[in-house]
Amino acid sequence: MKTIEREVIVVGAGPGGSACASYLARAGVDVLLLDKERWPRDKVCGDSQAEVTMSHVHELGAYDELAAVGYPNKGFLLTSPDYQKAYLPAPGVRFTTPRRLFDNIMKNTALRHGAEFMEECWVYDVIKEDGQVVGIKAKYEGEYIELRAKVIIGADGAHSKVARALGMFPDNPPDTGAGLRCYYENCDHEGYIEIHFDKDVLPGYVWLFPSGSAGNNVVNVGIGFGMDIYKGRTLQECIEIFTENSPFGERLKTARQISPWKGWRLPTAPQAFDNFVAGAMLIGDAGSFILPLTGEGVGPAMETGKMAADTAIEALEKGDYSLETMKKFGERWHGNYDEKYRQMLAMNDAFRSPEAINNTVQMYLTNEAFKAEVLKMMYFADSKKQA
Amino acid sequence: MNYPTQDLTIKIGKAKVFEAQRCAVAKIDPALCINCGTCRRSCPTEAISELQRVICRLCPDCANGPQFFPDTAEAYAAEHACSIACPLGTIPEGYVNKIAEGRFEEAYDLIAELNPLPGVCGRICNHPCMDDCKRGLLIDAPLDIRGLKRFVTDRVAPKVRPFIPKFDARVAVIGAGPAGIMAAFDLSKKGYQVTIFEAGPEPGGMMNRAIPAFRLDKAVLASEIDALVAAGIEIIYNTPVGKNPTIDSLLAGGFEAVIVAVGASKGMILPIEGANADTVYDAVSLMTRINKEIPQTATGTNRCIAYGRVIVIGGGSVALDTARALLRKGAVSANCVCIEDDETMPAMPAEIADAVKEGVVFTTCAAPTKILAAWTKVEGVEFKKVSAIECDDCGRLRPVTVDGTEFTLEADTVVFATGQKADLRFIAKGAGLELNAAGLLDYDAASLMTERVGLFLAGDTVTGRGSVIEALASGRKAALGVDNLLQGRGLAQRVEHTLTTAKPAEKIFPVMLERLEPQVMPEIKNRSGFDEIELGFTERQAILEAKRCMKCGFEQVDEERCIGCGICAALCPQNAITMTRSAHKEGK
Repeated sequence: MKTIEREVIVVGAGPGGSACASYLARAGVDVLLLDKERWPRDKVCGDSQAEVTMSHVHELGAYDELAAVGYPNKGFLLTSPDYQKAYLPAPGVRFTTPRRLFDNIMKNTALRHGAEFMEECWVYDVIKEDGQVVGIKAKYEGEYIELRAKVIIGADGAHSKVARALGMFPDNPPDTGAGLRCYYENCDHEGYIEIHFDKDVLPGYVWLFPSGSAGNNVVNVGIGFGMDIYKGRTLQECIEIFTENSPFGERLKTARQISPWKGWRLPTAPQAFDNFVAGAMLIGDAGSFILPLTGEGVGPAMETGKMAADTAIEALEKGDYSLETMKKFGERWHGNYDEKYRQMLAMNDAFRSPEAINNTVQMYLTNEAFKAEVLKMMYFADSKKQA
Repeated sequence: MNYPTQDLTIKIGKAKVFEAQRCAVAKIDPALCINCGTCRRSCPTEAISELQRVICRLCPDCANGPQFFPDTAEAYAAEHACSIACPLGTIPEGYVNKIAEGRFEEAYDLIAELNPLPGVCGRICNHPCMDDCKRGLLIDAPLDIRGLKRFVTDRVAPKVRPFIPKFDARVAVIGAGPAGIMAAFDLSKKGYQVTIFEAGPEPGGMMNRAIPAFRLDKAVLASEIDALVAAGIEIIYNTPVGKNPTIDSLLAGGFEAVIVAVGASKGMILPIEGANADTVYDAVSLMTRINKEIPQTATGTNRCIAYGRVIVIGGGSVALDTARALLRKGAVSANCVCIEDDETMPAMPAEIADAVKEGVVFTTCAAPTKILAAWTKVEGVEFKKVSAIECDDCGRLRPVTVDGTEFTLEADTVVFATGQKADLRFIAKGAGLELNAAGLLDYDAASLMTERVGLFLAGDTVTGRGSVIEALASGRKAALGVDNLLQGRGLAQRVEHTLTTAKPAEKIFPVMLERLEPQVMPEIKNRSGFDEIELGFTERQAILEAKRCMKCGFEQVDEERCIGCGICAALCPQNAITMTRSAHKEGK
């Protein structure tokens, strides 16, 4: 069996894996980035690059490339079940870009920083020796091969094979959602990325994000749901009801659907308490780091990608890949994210009732202090790091 | 060393209660388990059960199957599985995964454990397992389980594993067809001494007589039966039981039980006008003649009747086989006419496709009303269109025809493949029993025993017009009935094999699967002879096909029932079972 050996192997070349590989390569680490798809590839997503994502895009020097294809949106527009609108203007520049383009930019960024890349490489198991992860098993060009590394980083998304192999694949119904999206063209919008807490869709929501700079008013329309409440109606049926009943959905009657409905799994809010073992870490969706409520996964993926890269660099310096060293990764994300996840989970629970959303939106529109607090939570907490 | 022990009370079924002590419980690693069922069959306390993993089919674009809500997917998981589809109780996952590992011998052993005719089933089974394969129902296409079984039997020669007699009791089986062979196999394995009485000069029954060589190489059948004979099953040929010996004389003369598995060996010709003309045949006798005419699997014999334009009446496997065989024997054309429509035709879709490839024409929804024969030979058949099919009291199909829709097809030969009859007159007479209105014997559905104690039925005498796998299954059932009777266990069936849904943590996501295309079995180019059409998978193909198995099923131990005997751990071919110290609860 063919064997490949590197210092660090990152499984999955999405934004999380690419950011992680970029940071590692920038620090001079011999890093190999793997992906099971042929690139560029599409991914079911709202396509929004929020503040955290933008900070990494800046830091890794991919801003110009992204700005050339991204749609600069103005921030969030939330609507309540009683059809009130709340605008949350964003303080900085943020984009919406189809993931096919954005992910490719980030992957190429990693290559520019010096990471090595293998596509169409299907990872199916990890190699463990004395309780320590020392490599992975994969199928590449029709052959089954072994890849060994001092640190393995699982960035292989919501259906992570690495997480499964490590016994860290969580599927708790309330914390796992399903998302469905497609593209429409000729759909009017105000330049905001819209989230509609519609009464017919609750406790899920419909999103409508202007996407890409291609013109024709292309919007990314999607719907997200928690697995525990997803019963009786398909996501597609929910969208149809939204189109029929909501004043905000009416636009979709005249707009034209230009792509098929695609779905994806959304594991939110670190369901595995610690996403690391000796010799391996899980980042992004693989570690179920998606934010509850908004369902944003790219930002946390890049953030945890950097944390994992920092931890791996320290481990390589010390030459110690034990659980003790990897704990640093856990400390990093617990320190940065615990508070945020707590807030978001609380809001997520509250947002299951239409009255709560109506009241919150009402308060946002009338109470300046509350408005400032919400804006701080949505943008400032993130952009602080950027500064 | 003193291990802590636990007192256990284990109930099996309604009556049996065990008192036991244990110091360990078996644990099965789901990742290693290939669901071969070895442990489950060996467990003395029925503590092991099968779980089925849920397949996520939430998103519309993930695979070709229907979309499911989480709840529906969970219920679906336990309803469909290859392991409950097979009437014989074969669990394909075990040997399929052994093939994926390249361990063909072990795969063969797993198959041969339960099936005395794997090579035959690998070729002609109507594969209910594949119809219930979740990969086919939910993802892309089902695994070619039958093709994989065939691959293994092509690779590994039948082994002679001598049966060890444990009891003095002798059992007679009448008929060496699939049901009889299966019953003899199971009883011999249990330790009885079995003698098969076969009326004809050769074993195999319909597998030998009705199925043409281009579907089943007769050498495969012969070698598998030879292995069974070498292992200790006695077959006495040319001995039609009924007149001499009679059932009475068998039961009085040293046999503790008799299983009647004579099959439905009589072909039927529908009693319509002109059916007594020359060149009207029933499929069974015609196929028997054709199978005798051809030297085994060799091409090109001409010493036969000129069949001319052939009409085969019937839409099942036998009808198609006859049409295809007659085309090979020089028939000008072959037209299969059946009362069913395209979708309800009983033949397997793959068979129909093969027949079409070879030039068989199909006419559906038509019932014959008259055979036109002015002189002695057939000139054509008159049909009426069928609007509906009804089922009569005896379970036979009766078409409802529409007046004024008559049409005529020209023909030189007419073959009826419209079902077969069992002839039980002599059996019944010799056993002192009466036949019922359908011409069959009444029996107990659970044990397959007739009103005469010790006399059992199996095969087509029970199932009517069954497939090989159903015949095998009823042979197994009758053998179990005999065993229960002779061991004084009453005639209760054992608990049915049921499935439970596995925990969400075991869920299978189609996107995580290795991308593997279904393999297509190579076929011979020249279809005019009687050589087998399918050539079987190559080794590489077989492994790739076997890897498509999603491993939906795995075994689990019920800790409350486990007595820690360790039999399962010793037998597990995967070493997936460990005996661990039980989670000892003091004072319970």
